Amino acid sequence: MATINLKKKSRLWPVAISILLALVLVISATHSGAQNKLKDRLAASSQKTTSRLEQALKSRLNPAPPARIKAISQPVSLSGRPKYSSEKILVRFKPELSTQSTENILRAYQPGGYKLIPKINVYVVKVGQGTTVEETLAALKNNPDVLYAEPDYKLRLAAQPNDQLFRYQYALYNPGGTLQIPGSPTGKNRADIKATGAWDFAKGDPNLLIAVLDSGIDYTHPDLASKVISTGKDFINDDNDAMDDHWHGTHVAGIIAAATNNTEGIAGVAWDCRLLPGKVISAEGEGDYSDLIEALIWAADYSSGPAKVGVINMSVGGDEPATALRAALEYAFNKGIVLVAASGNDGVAGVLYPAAYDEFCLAVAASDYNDEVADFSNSGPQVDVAAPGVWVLSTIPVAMTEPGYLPYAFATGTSMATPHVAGFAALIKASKPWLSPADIMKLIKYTPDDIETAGRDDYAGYGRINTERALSPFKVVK
Amino acid sequence: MKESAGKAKRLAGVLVVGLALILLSAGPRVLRAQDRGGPAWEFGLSGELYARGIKWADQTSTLKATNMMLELRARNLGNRFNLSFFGGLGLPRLNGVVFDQLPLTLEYQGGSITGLLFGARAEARLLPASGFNFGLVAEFASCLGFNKNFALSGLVVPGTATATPSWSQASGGLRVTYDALEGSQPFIEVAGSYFWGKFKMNEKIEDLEGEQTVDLKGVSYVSITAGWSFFLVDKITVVPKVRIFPGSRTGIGAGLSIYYGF
Repeated sequence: MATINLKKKSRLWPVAISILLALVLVISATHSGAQNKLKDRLAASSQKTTSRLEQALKSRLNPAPPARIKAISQPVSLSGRPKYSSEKILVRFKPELSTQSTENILRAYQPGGYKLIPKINVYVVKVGQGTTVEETLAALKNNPDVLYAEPDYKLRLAAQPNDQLFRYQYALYNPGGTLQIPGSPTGKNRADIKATGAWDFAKGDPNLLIAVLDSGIDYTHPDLASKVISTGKDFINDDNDAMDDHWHGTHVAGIIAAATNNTEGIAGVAWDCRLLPGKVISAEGEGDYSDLIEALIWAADYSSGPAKVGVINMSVGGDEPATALRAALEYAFNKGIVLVAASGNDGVAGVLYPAAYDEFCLAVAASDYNDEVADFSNSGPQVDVAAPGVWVLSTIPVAMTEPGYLPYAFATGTSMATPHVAGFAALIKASKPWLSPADIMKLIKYTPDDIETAGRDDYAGYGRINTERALSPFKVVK
Repeated sequence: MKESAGKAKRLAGVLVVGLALILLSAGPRVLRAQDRGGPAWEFGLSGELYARGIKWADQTSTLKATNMMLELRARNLGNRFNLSFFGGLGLPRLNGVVFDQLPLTLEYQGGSITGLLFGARAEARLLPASGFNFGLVAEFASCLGFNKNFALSGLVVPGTATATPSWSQASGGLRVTYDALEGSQPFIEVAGSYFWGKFKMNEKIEDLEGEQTVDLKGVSYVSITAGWSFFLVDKITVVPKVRIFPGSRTGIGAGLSIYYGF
């Protein structure tokens, strides 16, 4: 415990210093040295420096740039916001009751509406007028026919944009300005996921889908259009169009499986795999557990010809456990799907849900270009691995791209670390489809490069993922 | 492959020089004609080195093996047959075999693994013709490897791999001897040779476990063996031989057997 406190204290100082340094850098940024640092940054983000990216880089070197890349994200904790929905609750009745009986019971509470999430038999119930979530929950919990009743907790993104800060940082790091990263001007050699080595042995499979349960995906993005299998499903607006009206999901999707080796844009980790968008986060960056639960079931059951979901990425999380969420994870897990989720960006001990459901979900922490765990990355015994999550370059919605900028941006957070692991899981599953999700999780956990303290720790888990070690033949020698 | 060919050449050289010295020191008076008289029992000691191409799935590699055997041979049964049984230690080396069905793909580079080797061999002399004798030969050999454990170093958790090879080889074909020499008998054998084997690998990394058995086959289905039996002082016979397995991945081998009659 003493060690953890010490560690936490030591983690607060760099945050403060970083912010101060960022301010100083914005004021005093010069062009000197920026070119090399920008190139280093891009190389660490992606081995595929595309022509458009190069254009952007060149524009940075020459004034009046035609296109640029910007930084848009900084992890922000949302403590203080409501923890659960003020309108909905989750209820499951005892299994021996028929649907007619359960619905009769529900109607007795005069709800504003309800719907059943099949397969796990959980009702999403809108509370009636003149009553509160707390009152309805208390009443339901006293009903002997109810197996459980719980709040519909709020989801939040593991990385949230802070426009002011982004602009601040953008001015410092974009190709037209000075790209500086507070406290870490240069990266450590090979502090990366070793994707280029892994691609010699595995590039994925177009019939292996990675469901991105997030704010949607801009499926018109030039680097994603060929990789998104359908317009997906929007659980926020209840339609079949999971277009991203935020930015987060598109950024996550690009990290996982942007079109690769196409001379354009960035490279995705799961080179040949395709994406399935499920929108569970609103344009404001919020969502409810019920949407994630429904999306998990939907993604687990999704198929299109031979294409099936093999991996689900959840760069989202909430503070509270929920039995229904656990049941949905278990459902997807039992269908052979690898589940990957962000540990959270509060820089505290405590992993968000669903990542904290350790038996079904890989919890991912964020590391940086020096193989150090990011200060904002949540810690805890459920943290399994770390992946780069500091200033990661990826796609952003075209509609949100300002004139003169490329639809790519640097972002930071465990949200950005998680898709590296999801892409990695997809590469494994595509090359070894007979492995169970549990085996794939173990393979990912046992093959990283150890960072932080020796052995497993609560900050980086088993270490920063090493895709090459897991996917290339491991030599058995004397 | 070059390495194994070089070793075989060196071994053949040593054999030739050694035999020449033995023959010179023994002199012609101690030589005896081969295959004269009635049935005889012989006890033998054999050593053999060889490399032969193997394949599995769509991959190929080379099995290198060292065999040390004790042999019991019955000669001149019915004035026509030789029959021998042998057993000993085999040291197959299956470097290069890849186990890609394990959770973590393993490539074996661990060298020789000791195994129990046993088999039998029969020779028949059928058609004598102007100093030559045309006959048949058949041989079966099998090696059951012992488990060998390896630590998988470099992982963040303890890992071990356990390798267990086994192989068998059956061959049958023509054997031609030249019987006109006093005290020695050169021979050549051209046989169909079928090799098959299994290489089992067990992987355990913390609580992640897997097992895969790779089915091996020889890339060559023919073996050509040339040798020379020297009948030395009284009951001692020395037989050096060389062997090739022609094919897409040519194999080569050499061996020496010493027999004592009783």
